[in-house]
Amino acid sequence: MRNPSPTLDGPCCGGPYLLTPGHARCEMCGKDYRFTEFPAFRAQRVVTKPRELADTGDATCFFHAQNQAETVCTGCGRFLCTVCAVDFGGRILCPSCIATGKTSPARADREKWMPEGIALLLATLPLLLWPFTLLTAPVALALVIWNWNKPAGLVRRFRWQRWVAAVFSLAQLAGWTWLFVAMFSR
Amino acid sequence: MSAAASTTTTNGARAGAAGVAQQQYRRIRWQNGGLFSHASLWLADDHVLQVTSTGVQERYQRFYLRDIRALMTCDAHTSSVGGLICGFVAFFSGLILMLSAATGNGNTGLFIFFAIMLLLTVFFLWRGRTVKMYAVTELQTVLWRSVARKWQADKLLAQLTPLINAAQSDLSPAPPLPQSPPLPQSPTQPQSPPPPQQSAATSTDAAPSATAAPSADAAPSANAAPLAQQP
Repeated sequence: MRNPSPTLDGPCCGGPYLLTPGHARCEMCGKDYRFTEFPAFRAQRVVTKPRELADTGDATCFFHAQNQAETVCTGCGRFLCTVCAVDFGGRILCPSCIATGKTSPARADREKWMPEGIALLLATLPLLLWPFTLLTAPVALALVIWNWNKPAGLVRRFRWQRWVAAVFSLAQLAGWTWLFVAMFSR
Repeated sequence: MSAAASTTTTNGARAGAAGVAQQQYRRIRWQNGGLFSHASLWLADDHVLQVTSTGVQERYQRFYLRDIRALMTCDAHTSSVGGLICGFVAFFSGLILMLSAATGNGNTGLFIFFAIMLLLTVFFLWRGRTVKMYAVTELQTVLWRSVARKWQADKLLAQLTPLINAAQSDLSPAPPLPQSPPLPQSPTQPQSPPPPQQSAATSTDAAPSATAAPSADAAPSANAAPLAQQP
């Protein structure tokens, strides 16, 4: 299969684009773009066609009963045709294994909650209604301690939020302790 | 478009090393963003990762070098509009400040306001032209939010272009479509006059230019033309 007329799904209004070397112009809105294209833009598109069953004794694809199985999913062991076999980082996986995250988690993560960010919010936001800090400060401190050694995200960077959250929650806990001691010592 | 672009492309899933628990990412663009979220760009062996963070949640978008079809950059007028507005406000507040100083009524608050506006104007001008950069893949076109200035876009293009070209070095361009044979003219159809020589020359001259949809004759890959050369 060939891809002789590359279509450009542009960012503005979706109109056709007039392409000149290094430049693209949307023909609908007239917006100009600097256009840096790469070989994939005009590359041949490879289409994999599955083999149909030649004999009724052949193993069939788990997802397509009419297709001959040609490989096995390394995640779940299902028979797969060439359409369903996805080469995922050197492993052959079926779509359901990819969807359920049997790949390397780091490569499949789409989003991640940041416990130190939540801890920072818990440590600072309730200061507006300070009685709530009796509840939120221990939770924030627990979140900070619990996640101290865990990787904070896919990329490594300095996580200042955990330090600020720890300092604020400790200060609030110290304040509450002082308040209780002062109350009960009377 | 970018709202629905939280996933990587399907082709991109093929590339990469198996069983890598933790990818080693190198930052290629620092954080940039708005009031409630910011984005940064990171480079791994085979893909670019855009991290959009709201403080409590990070969203990841992977752009495999093999899948990036093009990078598109356009002017955004944020800096010029911002600089113009701040410049006007600074000019008028400076005017009022001078008039009030001439009448002997010095105003410290107005002076501080004038200084802030002047600093903002200088900041907008000093940071350079603002641009928007988009990554085009087979399935989606996504804004790279962390690239906001022209010099940042130039730097990123210079950094990524050889990597992407290397990752796609085995891709062969599609052959052009075969010319369809001319339709036989019916005997009843009146003979159309031959096109004038001028228009034929014009169409030959226009060969490098091609609309994206029917661009079989479009010029081959041309990388990184400077933005200043835009018409």
